[in-house]
Amino acid sequence: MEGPLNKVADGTARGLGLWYTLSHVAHCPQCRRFLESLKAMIGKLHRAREVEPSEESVQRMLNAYRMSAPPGG
Amino acid sequence: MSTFGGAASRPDFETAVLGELGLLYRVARRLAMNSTDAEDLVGQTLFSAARSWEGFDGRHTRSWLVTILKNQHLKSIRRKASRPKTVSIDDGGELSQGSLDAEIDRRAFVDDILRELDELPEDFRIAVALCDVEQMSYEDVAAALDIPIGTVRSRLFRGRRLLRERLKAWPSDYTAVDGADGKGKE
Ligand SMILES: [Zn+2]
Repeated sequence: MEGPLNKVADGTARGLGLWYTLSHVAHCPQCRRFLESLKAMIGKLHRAREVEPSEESVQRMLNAYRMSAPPGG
Repeated sequence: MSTFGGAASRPDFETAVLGELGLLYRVARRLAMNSTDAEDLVGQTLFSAARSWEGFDGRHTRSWLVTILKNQHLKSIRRKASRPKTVSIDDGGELSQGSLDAEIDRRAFVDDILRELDELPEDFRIAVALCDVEQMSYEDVAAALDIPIGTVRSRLFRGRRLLRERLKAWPSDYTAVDGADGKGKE
């Protein structure tokens, strides 16, 4: 069940596969706990996307590229 | 599916990549393991991308840039087999006083989960970083890494399993990811 539960957790499960997995989860406490904890972990990983490079860091990255770019290019 | 719809509407290089800079930096940070090397890697990626920009068809810019980033990373590994590790602190830029405490709490958690993620083998680390942190589709990740979609899935699921195992050592009220058997089997 690990593969189907992963697909339900990240929202890529579709159609019959989704229906079957949810039906199973409805009466299987072990898979339900696994699914809930997997969703929680993925939700926390999503939050890591909020980390943006600082303005200085953006400037350093752009400068690195601009300084190495050929003149006139 | 982000296409530019022809040369007339094609943005200039910097405009096109500026919106992807955050993603490139975060993925570079997962590959390079410190922020200085991550910045260097993104700089090299931008340089290489700029040189290929003319011949690029404008489709799937994000996957295209991640492919270049991955190739630059491989080049850089080959260039310097070993290099003294430096540790640098990422300052998050300016914060208002009111949001400082919340920001510190959030950062502490994000830093913790990313530190655990960084302990995974690279193939699994990057699959989790692209799919779960950056929320790229399996298809885009497959294109970026030049691997079949089935391989993306297996690396992602394995990476999640490894990460779960690492996070299980944490207090449950902090992580909310324990309590399951870790296998999801009957
Ligand atoms: Zn079950």
